[in-house]
Amino acid sequence: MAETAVNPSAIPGTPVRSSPDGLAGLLRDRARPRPTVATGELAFDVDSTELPSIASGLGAAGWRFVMLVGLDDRRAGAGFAVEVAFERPASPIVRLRAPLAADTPSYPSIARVLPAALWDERELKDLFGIVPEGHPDPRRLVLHDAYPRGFHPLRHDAPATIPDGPTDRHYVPFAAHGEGVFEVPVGPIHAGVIEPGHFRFSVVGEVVLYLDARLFFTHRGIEKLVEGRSIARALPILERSCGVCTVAHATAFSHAIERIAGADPPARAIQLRAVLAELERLYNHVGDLGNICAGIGFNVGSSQLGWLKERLLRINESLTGHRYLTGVVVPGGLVGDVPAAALGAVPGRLAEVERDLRAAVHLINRTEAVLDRFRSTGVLTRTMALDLGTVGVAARASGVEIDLRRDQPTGAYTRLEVPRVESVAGDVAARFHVRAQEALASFELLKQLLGELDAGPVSAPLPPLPAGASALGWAEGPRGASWIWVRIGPDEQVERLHLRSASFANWPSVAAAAPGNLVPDFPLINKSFELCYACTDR
Amino acid sequence: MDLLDRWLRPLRTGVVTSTYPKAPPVLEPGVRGLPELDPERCTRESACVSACPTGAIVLSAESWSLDAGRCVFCGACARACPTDAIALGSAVTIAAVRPAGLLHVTPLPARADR
Repeated sequence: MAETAVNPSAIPGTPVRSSPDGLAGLLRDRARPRPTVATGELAFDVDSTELPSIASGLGAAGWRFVMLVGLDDRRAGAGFAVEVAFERPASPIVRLRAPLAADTPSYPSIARVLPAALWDERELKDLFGIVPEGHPDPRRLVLHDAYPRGFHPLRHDAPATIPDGPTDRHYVPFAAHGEGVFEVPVGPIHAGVIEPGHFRFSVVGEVVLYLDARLFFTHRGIEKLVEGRSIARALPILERSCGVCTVAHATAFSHAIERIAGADPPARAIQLRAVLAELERLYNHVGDLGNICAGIGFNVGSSQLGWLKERLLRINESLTGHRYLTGVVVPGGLVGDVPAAALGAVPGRLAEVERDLRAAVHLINRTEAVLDRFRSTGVLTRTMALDLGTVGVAARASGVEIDLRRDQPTGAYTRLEVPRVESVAGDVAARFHVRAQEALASFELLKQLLGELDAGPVSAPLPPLPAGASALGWAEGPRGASWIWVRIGPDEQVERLHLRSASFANWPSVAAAAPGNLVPDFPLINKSFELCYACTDR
Repeated sequence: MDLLDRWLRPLRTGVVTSTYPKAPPVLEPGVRGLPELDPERCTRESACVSACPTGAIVLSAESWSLDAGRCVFCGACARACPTDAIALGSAVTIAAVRPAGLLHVTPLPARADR
């Protein structure tokens, strides 16, 4: 139904006016172009009733769902609005905005044609009270039972404290029913130092029939918290959305701000950002490989990889003063240059870690008892990954080629060749393999980056940010694509911000990979995705 | 061979953990620990107070106090200080039994002294 021709001349950064790549035919007279400040973005106004058909047409033409943003524009004399963004390699980003009524905002759900938006629409309903009509799963997602009915915190007129009032009925997990089917509730408190999540398994014997995952126990209202804050005061909150995707989130935010300002940071800054991004990927991948070993009680592997992760964290500390890389990336560049002595020592320290990582992975790959647990466990098929909009390692381990470093390259990645790491099995073994290969690839990228660092300043002042301007920013973090949508208000404040982290995108895939496996394999499956709860919950 | 390697490697590597808390934690030079004020250099312009994103610093006539429960070790105070009176030290073991123990107060010399 949709045109699928790809226009080879459409490169990121080139706004396409009379787009010949199927977009124009798809949008026809249904979309009215809207001005945008950022390059490489096309924005349109559409009627909300057209959203499902346009969304399915874009999906069929190879466009991937990026995020769904709710907007409360009632203060500006308008109503609510919902914005849906799509991306496709070598194409400009497409943003569709549908205005909605001010009193009872609703629109036809796009999740039926675009399952990747399932959680986004449930979140929109909780936080804005915007109803996606016909959504297949109308349960609450973010706001648990204790929140009173009618309380939608991201509305501008929401009370500052949670009011008393009648709440919705108790949480009803989706479960399988029938003779011999039992439900096993796990969490939200777990054994060990991990974040809270409630997993409801429907099982027959030891085999999982269905898993309903309930998260958002650590919802802190970060998107509300940054509203009305200056860029400098919003950033420290935002980059702590979780503890382990700091550079990805800070870079995505800075990228959005820089796109609004229309200014790129100096060359050395974008190169060092890539260095930090790869260091973040490395310590996460190495730590996650160790956690996967811990998931089956293979202590030789987990302790060796844990030690390697510690050495990588110390390299982070030597360069930035912080083991988890906070407080370095800022809009306009970096807060300051990295110490020269520490930078000079990095190649040697990395070489030692690389040598030991190769040995550790070799050992694990030669241990049959380990591979037996990894193989054919927690399979996420390619079809499931494509439907659910899986990103990052999990997608690449299921045969989906998606990596924003290649698909939507920014900064230093426009000149770096990021190797493709392929796997198709979609099981724990594939995710282990992809992580290990990507970690080794990161060492090569770091060698290249550190060998070609430009001299010069690491920050440049940004031009003024026009009020009302909005843009998307993104980064490929250790878990996949992190996207940030930001709109600037008066006095260069953040008026509205939405973070869609890679973990948010991938949680439904974890639940989809569980059925057919044994309950005791779930910790292993969960660790092979290794998602954050905090930046999902926000 | 693999089995042998598996047994010998830990022996070659040795102990990699530190004896913290008996010994101080192993830190890299340049770690961003608790901000410290040199009271002699402080000109009380309160640039640090307005730069702090979490409101962790309170400046009064007698003292400069830092709430370690609020501080996120970003270093904005040190960068904002016009006289370079603040530096991020290497103190990272800042846990306290009571909230008051998180308050780090640096007395300032009386105004008449300067």
